[in-house]
Amino acid sequence: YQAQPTLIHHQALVPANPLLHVEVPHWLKVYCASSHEKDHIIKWNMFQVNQLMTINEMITKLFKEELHNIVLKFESMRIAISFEMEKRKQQQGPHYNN
Amino acid sequence: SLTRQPEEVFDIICKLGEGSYGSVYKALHKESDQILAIKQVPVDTDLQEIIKEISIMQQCDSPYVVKYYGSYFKNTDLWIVMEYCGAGSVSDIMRLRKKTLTEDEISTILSDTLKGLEYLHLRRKIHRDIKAGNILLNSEGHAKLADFGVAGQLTDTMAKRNTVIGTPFWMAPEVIEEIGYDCVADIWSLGITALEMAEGKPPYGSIHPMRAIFMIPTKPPPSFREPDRWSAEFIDFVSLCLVKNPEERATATDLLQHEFIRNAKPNSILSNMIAEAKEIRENQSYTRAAAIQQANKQLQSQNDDSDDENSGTMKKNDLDCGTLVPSKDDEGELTMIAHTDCGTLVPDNGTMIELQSNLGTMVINSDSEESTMKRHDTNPDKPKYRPLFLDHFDKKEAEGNVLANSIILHEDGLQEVPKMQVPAKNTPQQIQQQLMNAPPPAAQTSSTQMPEQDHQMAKLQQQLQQQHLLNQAHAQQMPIASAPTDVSENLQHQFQQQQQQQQQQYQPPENILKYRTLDCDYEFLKFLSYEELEQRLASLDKEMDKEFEETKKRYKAKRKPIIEAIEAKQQKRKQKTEEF
Ligand SMILES: Nc1ncnc2c1ncn2[C@@H]1O[C@H](COP(=O)(O)OP(=O)(O)OP(=O)(O)O)[C@@H](O)[C@H]1O
Ligand SMILES: [Mg+2]
Repeated sequence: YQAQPTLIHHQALVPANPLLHVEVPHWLKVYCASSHEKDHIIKWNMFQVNQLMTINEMITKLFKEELHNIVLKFESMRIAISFEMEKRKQQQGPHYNN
Repeated sequence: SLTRQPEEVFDIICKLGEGSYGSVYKALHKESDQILAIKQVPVDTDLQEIIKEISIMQQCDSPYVVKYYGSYFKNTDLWIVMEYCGAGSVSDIMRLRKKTLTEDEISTILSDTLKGLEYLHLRRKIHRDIKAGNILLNSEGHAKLADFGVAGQLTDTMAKRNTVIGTPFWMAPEVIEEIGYDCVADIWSLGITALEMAEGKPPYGSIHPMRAIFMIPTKPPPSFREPDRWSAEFIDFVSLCLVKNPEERATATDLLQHEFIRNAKPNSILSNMIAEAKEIRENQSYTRAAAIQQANKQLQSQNDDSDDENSGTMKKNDLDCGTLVPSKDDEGELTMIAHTDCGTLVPDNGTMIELQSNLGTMVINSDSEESTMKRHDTNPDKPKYRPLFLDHFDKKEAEGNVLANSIILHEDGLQEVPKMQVPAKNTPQQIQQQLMNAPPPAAQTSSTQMPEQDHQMAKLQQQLQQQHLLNQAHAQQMPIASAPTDVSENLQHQFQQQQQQQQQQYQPPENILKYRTLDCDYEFLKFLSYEELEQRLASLDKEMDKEFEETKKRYKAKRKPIIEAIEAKQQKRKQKTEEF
């Protein structure tokens, strides 16, 4: 397994997302994954503005991760279906065989 | 420049097109008798963005960059006055003529584009939205860079802007990955644009934008579909643009020295193409009004709930000069599509869905009432083929739209969260195993997607593996709270309790269960007929969109109290400073 080369360009005109390698706190993940009934439990005004802004950006990060996972899931489904279809073709018509 | 009302200064002639920020009109500057283009932007969108756009354009003075003359506030609209480019965008011309460009045409256009990019890049400005739709041609065939809608002024303040922006198909891998980027990100987009001009659409242009976002960083650089059709110089030029590592990618200055560009013919070679497009545009303007009415009728019969606002009444200003252009698929006047760059917005597979959404857009264009659009947007039954990713990656949060019934979806990234009562989900490794056990694709196949499968497989496995490692890392790590620890620990408990309660109460809706099963257990595929498999494959994008939409709604609601808290605090702070 070879990792994607993750080049981080520190001097880039547009710097890397500072949260790229920051672990999102567990409680925030739980918050984002749960249903809304108890959201009011959190007293957001107890945080400072800059903390809230970081939290907001972390939510964006989680959101993108989730979207990415959805794509990944469907991508593997797509491949599985294609493989299954290909298998049928090979079974059905001997002319499909190599 | 803001002393007089803009309508005293200009006569609006007609509409040229519509973009993500607002509409563009052709206008006459009364004093000088000069023809100009005016972009009208509703200011409630994102003033910061627009002001940035203006300031960047204002600083530019190059024959290869569309000139900006000034701006006005008119009621709730900002009017941005700029140079008029009579031949429209390169993608307009392709769509009008239903023709891709020749190598000569491409090299001439690329030559101007590179000069524009060199100009910007020497000033450390990244355009960020290079595509055929943003290369405008004037009547003499000079190409100019337009639309700094998402271009950013390159200062330290840029650190704050980290959302993925731009149009995905043209986006450089490093932009998608958010690892930081430079001017050469535009060069990648230029390479994609070259392929777009040659082939009619960018690579991955017909797949779901979110899939493209996934593919671009993971797959090797795209190239020509039919390399035999193109010269070695052109192929080499594109390959120099489409280098994944930005450090190894050529710069605009480098590429201006490339043989393909040095041999570019004069701009006059474009005049044929421009004249042809102009003629088509003029012919169309005669039949347009009729086409719109026809389409409105069609739309009305499709939507029983539609009222009289669709009846095709057009205001003078909305009579457009070529907003509606025929789409690539020949399906008569119904495929007249709005000009909002459908190559970008609509996966062009000629489905009925696409048609409907195009009609929707067209009605919006020809109808000043917003109701059509709203209905179109909020109708949950109508599949959306708007670029969902744009919304997904948008930080701006529109008000309202509270999620009616929330659905918990525990995604792979959140595996430590207590599970719902659903069939056990396979680990990424198991998926991988299953994928590996699946029979390899036949060496030769007539099936559409198979040739790519091998590669896709390898990449996917890599991704899954990475994801797995990531998840493990997540699970092992305890939260590093950037918030006060006592608060966050408390919250953690509360939420865990809440989760457990929900776990007991929660009955996942039918379709979610289905998705769960679909997730990773591919056994069931064996029991489907070939036709059913085909159907599944065909409906994947729609199902994926549904999940995106649900996720998006949930996050919007989750973000809301935080945004409100920020605003409340800022308000308070403002009041305090005013008091003292
Ligand atoms: N200066 C101009 N001269 C002539 N036509 C123009 C000019 N600017 C824009 N247009 C036309 O108006 C259309 C809309 O332009 P606009 O920049 O608002 O959005 P866009 O490029 O389609 O999308 P986005 O905002 O996402 O970049 C263009 O595609 C082009 O056809
Ligand atoms: Mg544009």
